This record gives sequence, C-alpha cells and structure tokens, in this order.
Amino acid sequence: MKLKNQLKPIGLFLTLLLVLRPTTSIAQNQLSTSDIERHASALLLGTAPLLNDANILAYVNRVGRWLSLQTDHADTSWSFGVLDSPTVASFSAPGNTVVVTSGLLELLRNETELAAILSHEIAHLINGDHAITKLPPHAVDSLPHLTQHLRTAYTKGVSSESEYRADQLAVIIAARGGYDPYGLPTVLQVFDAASANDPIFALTRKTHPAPADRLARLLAAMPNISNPAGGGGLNSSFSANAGRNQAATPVANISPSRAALSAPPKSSTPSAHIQASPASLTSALPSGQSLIVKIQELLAKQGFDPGSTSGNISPDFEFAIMEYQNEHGLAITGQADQPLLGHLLAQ
Amino acid sequence: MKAVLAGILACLLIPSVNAAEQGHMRSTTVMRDQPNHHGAAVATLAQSAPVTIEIRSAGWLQVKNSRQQTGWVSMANVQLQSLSWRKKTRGLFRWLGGGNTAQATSSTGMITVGIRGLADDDDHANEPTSIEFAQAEPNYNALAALEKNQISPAAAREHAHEQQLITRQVAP
Repeated sequence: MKLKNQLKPIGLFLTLLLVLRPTTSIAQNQLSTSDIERHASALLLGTAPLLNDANILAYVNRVGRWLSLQTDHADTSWSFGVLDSPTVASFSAPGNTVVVTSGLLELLRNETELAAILSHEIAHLINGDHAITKLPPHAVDSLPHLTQHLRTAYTKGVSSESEYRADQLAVIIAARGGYDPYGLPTVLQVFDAASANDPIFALTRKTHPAPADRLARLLAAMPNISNPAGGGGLNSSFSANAGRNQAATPVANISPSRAALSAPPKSSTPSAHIQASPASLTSALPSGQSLIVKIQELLAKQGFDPGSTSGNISPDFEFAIMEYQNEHGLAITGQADQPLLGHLLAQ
Repeated sequence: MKAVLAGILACLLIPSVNAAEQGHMRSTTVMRDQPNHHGAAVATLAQSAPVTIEIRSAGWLQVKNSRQQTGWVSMANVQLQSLSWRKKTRGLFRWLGGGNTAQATSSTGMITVGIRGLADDDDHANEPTSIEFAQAEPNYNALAALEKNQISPAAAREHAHEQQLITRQVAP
C-alpha cells in the first residue's frame, strides 16, 4: 500500500515526460515553440514585401478567418497576409499563418476561388503538416540554424500525399463555410493550364504534385466530400447566430461586395479582345442583334465602361458587368446573359 | 422587387458568356445533355478537340465544340488552353481595387494592364520580387504588421453574413 503510494508520483512524472517530450527537447535547446513559430512566419515574410493595400489585407483576413472558424482550431488566433509578388503561390507556417501572393490574387476570379486556396493552406495546418515537433533537433538549437533549415523546407514543400490530403480537407472546410466545394478543382484546372516554363509557377511546380494529378484525385474523392450529410465538426453555435438553417444547395461563385471595400475601381486601358457570342444566347434577340452588343450599349449608356460596344469581349467588359451587378445588388458573376439584359432594359 | 429579382438571379443556373475560356479535351469524351453521367450523349469529343467553356455546374463544364454543339463534360477531361485571359483580367486583385501601388502610370495617364509581370509579353525589367527562399532573411517588422491585421471571429462572421454564406454540415 505504502509502496503503491510512493510509486504514484513517479508514474505521474513518467506520464508527464511522455506528454511533454517534444516541448521538453525544444526547451532544452532554448528556442521556445513561440520563437520557432514566429521565426517561421517572419522568414516567409522575408521573401517579398507585404502588399501595401490595407483593404486587400483586411479582405483576405476576413475570408481566411471565416474559414478557420469551420475547423476545430477556431479559438486560436490566425494571421492571413498577401505578399507583393508575381509568383503564384500560397503558404502556411506554424502558428497559424497563411500567406498568398498578389500574383495568385490576379489569377483568381472570385471569393470562392480565394476560399479554396486559403482552405488548402488551413488544411495543412489542421493536418499538422508543419508541426514543429517534426523539426530535427539541430534545426531548433538556434535561430540561424532554424533559418537554414526552413529555407530548405519551404523550397522542398511537404509530401505529395500531404498535398492530396490537404486538398480533400480544403474542400470540406470551404463547403462548411458556405462556399462552392468545386472552387478548388476550378483553381487546379487553372494551374494546370500554366505553361511548363512559366516562371511565376516555378515554385508551386517544385513544391506540389502536378495540378492535373491533384485535380483527378480530388474529383474522384468529391462525391464523398460534397455530400452534405450531417455530423461534421461544424461550429454549430454560429449557425444559430446567423439565423439560417443548413442548405444542401451549393452556393454560386461569390465575388466580394464592393460595398465592403472602400477602394474605388481603377480605370484601365482595354487590352486584348476575344470574340465570343454563342448562338444560343443571341437567338432570343431581334434580327440577330448580339446580346453582347446590346448589353455593352446599355452599360455604356449607364456610365459604365464596357471597353467596346461592338461585341468584343474584353476584361473591361467583364469588369463593367461586375460593377453594374454590384451597384444594383445583383449576384456578381461578370457574366453577360439574358437576365442581365433584362435588368438593364428595366432601368 | 429588385431584391427578389437578385435572389432569383442568384439561384438560377443560366447559360451565359463569361471570360469565354478556351480549352481542349484531355481524352476522347462523350458530351452529354446533362451535367452528370446519366445525361444522353450529344456527341463524342476527340482527344485534343478544342472547346469553348461556357458555364460550370459542380464538377461539370458546359462546352461547345467546333461544330457549335453544346453539352456537358467532366472538368477532369478538359484542359484550359492558356492562362492569358485570366492574366489579362487580373481577377480578384483588380476587383479589390489593387494594383496601382508599384505600377507606373504610363504617359497617357492610363494604368497598363499586366505590368506586374503577368502579361505574356511582359517587360521583365519591371518585375517585382519573385519568391525565393535561398537568401531570405526573417522580417519581424512584417510579422508585426501581419499580426496587427488579425481580425476577430465576430468580424469574420460579419463578412460571412454580408456575403450570405450559409454554413453546412460536411463530415470529413
């Protein structure tokens, strides 16, 4: 009896030792968990300047933080940032830091696609792909050693299997947050279109499996993922706060409401034009008049700049539609279609 | 009334012209009249056949072939032709009002699209920093700025409310 009591504290000590082992070894080598996490994030931020645009930084934080709330790491703090670089890349670092590049934002079309990317990075963190307990002892005995180790680690990326797993979890996180789960497949399809020697994709190519492989794997897994059967670890208190019930209908692509941003739109020169006016859309118009031309004329009449009023489709046309849709509280799709024409005609 | 109309528009899947992205078939594929495997065959698209992508519904794309036939194929079977359209539109970045920081305004007073290193014929002399880790040094000032930008869960929920995001239960 007495012996058992004496053994108890030893047992407790051994248990503690087992639980604390990773932290203990770090403590012995002087760098604390927080030191390592902050250094990893700081090094990431040392590769390019932070984007000098408070609106965009705040926006990315709002989308990212919302997605983080769909995970079981909702209660910790999360940082989201944008690096000013043409490189198309996104990163996550221990300590819940997620960074995308401005070059990536230029390729994404809407918030759904941004949510897909942020979810992928959040998924890496939830999956523990960057767990600092995985760092070798020599990497955490001093900051210079840590720098050296991380430079290689960031360039090497994580395993292909980890990437595939992150893709699958990303789709779940995005769907829980109310985004179209097919945002990530769409982005992967875009990445796949990059030419093999496009320098802005060099890093992503080096650190990830081929986009086509990721797309194929993800699509094969989607039927299971997109099935909104209950039971996930969704933060249910939020659903109550929002006053909305669960809906199984996928949400359409979402662009951020301009009202939420104070920055005014920028004007620009019309660039290359692409001819497109599907027959299926023009058939309903009188005497073969192009739907595109009509929409362009009406947009121009209302003070928007469609870039052309002769049927050429340019980025400015898409942008003008989005501005119009935003101003009138319509779903922001950037698409020239019959309902848009109907709305324009009713003005 | 306007709100009702917006609501209806948001709910409908309507054929529309968007960025008119071009693609080609990865493999020989049956084009169907519905966005699922049960749709009736409309035509067979040969490997490498060019298509125009019209809309997407879940994992399916509505495409048009060179004979102006329209139908649905799985995303997995279509490869986009190039990124040139996306690069030119400058997507979300432009929509968010970004892009006039480091960009030189041309002599005509207009902002040149693609100066940030994304246009196909870009002048590399103007290219800003590309991400390299080999020489990277930690930037603790940037980290402090990043941490200052953190937002609360309440602010994130407000954003979701504004965007009418509806949470869903999805099991892993």
